[in-house]
Amino acid sequence: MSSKLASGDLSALVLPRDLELLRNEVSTLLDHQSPLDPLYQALASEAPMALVDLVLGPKAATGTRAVQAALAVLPALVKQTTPAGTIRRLGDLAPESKPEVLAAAVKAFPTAGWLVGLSGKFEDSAPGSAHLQGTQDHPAYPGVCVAHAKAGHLDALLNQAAQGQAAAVGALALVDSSAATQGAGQLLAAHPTIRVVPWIAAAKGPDAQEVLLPLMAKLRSREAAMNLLADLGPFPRAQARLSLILAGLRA
Amino acid sequence: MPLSLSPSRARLPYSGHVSLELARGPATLQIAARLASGLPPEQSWDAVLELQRLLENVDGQDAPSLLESLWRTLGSAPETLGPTRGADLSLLAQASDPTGNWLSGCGLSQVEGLPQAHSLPSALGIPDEMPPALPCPKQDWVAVCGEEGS
Repeated sequence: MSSKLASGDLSALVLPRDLELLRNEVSTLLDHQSPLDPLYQALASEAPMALVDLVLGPKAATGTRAVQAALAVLPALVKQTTPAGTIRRLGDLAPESKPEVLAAAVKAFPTAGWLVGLSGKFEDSAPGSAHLQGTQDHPAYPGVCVAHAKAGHLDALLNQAAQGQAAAVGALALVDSSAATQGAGQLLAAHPTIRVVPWIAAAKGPDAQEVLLPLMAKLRSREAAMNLLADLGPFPRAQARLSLILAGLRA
Repeated sequence: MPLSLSPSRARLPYSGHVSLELARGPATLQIAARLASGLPPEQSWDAVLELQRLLENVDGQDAPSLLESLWRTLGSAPETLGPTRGADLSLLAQASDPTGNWLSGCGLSQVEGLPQAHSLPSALGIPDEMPPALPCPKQDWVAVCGEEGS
């Protein structure tokens, strides 16, 4: 029966009676470095509740390989359980695989609000990075930026800004003017033609100059300064200050 | 700010908002406006910049004539005001000269502190007829933008 199960043949299986047998089979496959995928795929289509018990239950297999195999059947798991609970449980079962689990969650549920809180628990450094990186091309990306800003994930947003994501600057401006200035400076240093003023203005409104005025001192290229100047019409103080600086900036 | 429009509940609460001030001789015109706010920030800001350019044409010798010029100018080139052609415009304007102070606007559901006897159009967009110019004290005014379809 063992080799049959390993290859995904569940014909001899009686559930829930044989759950313990299944657990033993998984344990054996893990011990022998054998693939779990055929068995998990078969369970996903023929006995999804047993799969959930096996993969997420109190006696679930732990470790990287077990969790990697579980991620391959993630759609089947979340049909039977809550996505957030599934992802948290998988992270608990293989703490060393949390980055991989989080990446799979971002791919499967890019706009899920619970990913913001989960990022804080799954990423020790710059929480929010995986979610932001994984949704850069998604229409909901500006909203994801705002959610992470409100969760205080400023380092991840600064990294996004440095990659040229103006939405990250807008989100930073909502919560921390100084961080928004820093982010805009980093963005313009690497991507001098990307527009940041519209995002800062949309976030800060009449207080946009709190971000814009200190930004002037961070400009290092004439191209970036000219780009900024073109958008500064409604902010005469910032416009005047930049006009002064512009004369001293090389092309 | 002497004039402001309350922020929206959108993720970016000031999308499409702008505050401007024009001085023409002894008269000044302060404007707070919102337009194209439902668009991506770059497109909203382009509409804001177009509005600013358009308003450079506003002229007048005193406060009432500045307000007349403001509404005439807005009505003259709505096609420049972004993809919405100014149809979603909310605007509060305060014109002042040594003889007095007047408030006007459009697309406003409420102007805080305005006497109940006075009102400004709540429908969004550039009005077909010049909205009223209300004599009022020179002060900071906060208005709430009207909603789409009002």
